[in-house]
Amino acid sequence: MAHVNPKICAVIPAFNEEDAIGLVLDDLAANCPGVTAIVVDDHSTDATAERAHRPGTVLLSLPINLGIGGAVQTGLKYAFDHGFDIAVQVDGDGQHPADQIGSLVEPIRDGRADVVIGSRFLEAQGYRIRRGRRAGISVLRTVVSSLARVTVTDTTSGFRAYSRRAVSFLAEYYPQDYPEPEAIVELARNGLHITEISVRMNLRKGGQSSIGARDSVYYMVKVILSAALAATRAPVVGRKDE
Amino acid sequence: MEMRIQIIAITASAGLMLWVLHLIRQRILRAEYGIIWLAGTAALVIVSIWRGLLDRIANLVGVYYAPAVLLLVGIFFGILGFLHMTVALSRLADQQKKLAQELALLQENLNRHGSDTPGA
Repeated sequence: MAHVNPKICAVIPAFNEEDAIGLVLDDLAANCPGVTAIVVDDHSTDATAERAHRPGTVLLSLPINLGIGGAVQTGLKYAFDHGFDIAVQVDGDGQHPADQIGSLVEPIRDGRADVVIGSRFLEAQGYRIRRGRRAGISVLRTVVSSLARVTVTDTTSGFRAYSRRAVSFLAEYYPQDYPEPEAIVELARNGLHITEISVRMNLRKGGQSSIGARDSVYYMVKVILSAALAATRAPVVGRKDE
Repeated sequence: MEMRIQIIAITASAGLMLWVLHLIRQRILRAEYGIIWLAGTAALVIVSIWRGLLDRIANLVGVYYAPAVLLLVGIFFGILGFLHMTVALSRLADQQKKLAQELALLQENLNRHGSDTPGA
């Protein structure tokens, strides 16, 4: 469905991002004044919650640490319950520039897609990536694209926009631990239309990638297994509007 | 089977069974999880008492050394119990996630409306 003035929110999962979260919110306020920021504090032990406590910003404080999947889903539940038409997922570490949100939501505004993934790899932008990581990315691209039956170049990108239909699905079913690639398969298999656009991303302002080299084997096995099994699940129905 | 080892086997498996019953009675173990333990220990008690059963089963499945059957059955029940446990754990983690999310959403709602309420 196309809206003239859709209600848009940005779901921002944050775990110990006291250095970055303020900048993320500033960036959002400056570049997307109409977008409601929903910060999901995943039980941070630093000042993330205090930094995110601003008028006009929704702050959801999880009483225990759920990990990225559970945190994002909390924000999506809020978005669904409060009637948002489009939800954009933006990392709390400052990787995702707010000036790209406009182009990310465009395909949904036009009614061309339910899910828009911001990709770093759609156009050559000269991201420097270690060889092992590059191999992993390319394996995931092949596996996820064939299971989802749609080409996705950046399967681990957490910079995404969701239509209300996609939000209604994800509010009920959102994968845990490293959820991004699996979510693509789940969404595609449930008939949601996925498209990718090229985005520019910043280098991390603080912290590290959530995936270290030691965990990457476990990561690949877990993601491929759950994505493959997700492809065998029968389609389900998401949350219903009252 | 020698008499001595049979007495030990009966005592140990019956003791384990009684312990499981005790845990359920004291509400330390939920009955739904206790059932699999009871079934396992009951099977152990039966094969400990009924000596011929083990030999018959061993013959039936073509195992030459009868106690190996006991070992096999024991390991099988152990694995079954472990699987049951991880399933229960997954469900628990899921429910815990849902509760935490509901709590965060309710808290936000309370914070927002709490400030509008006079005297709050």
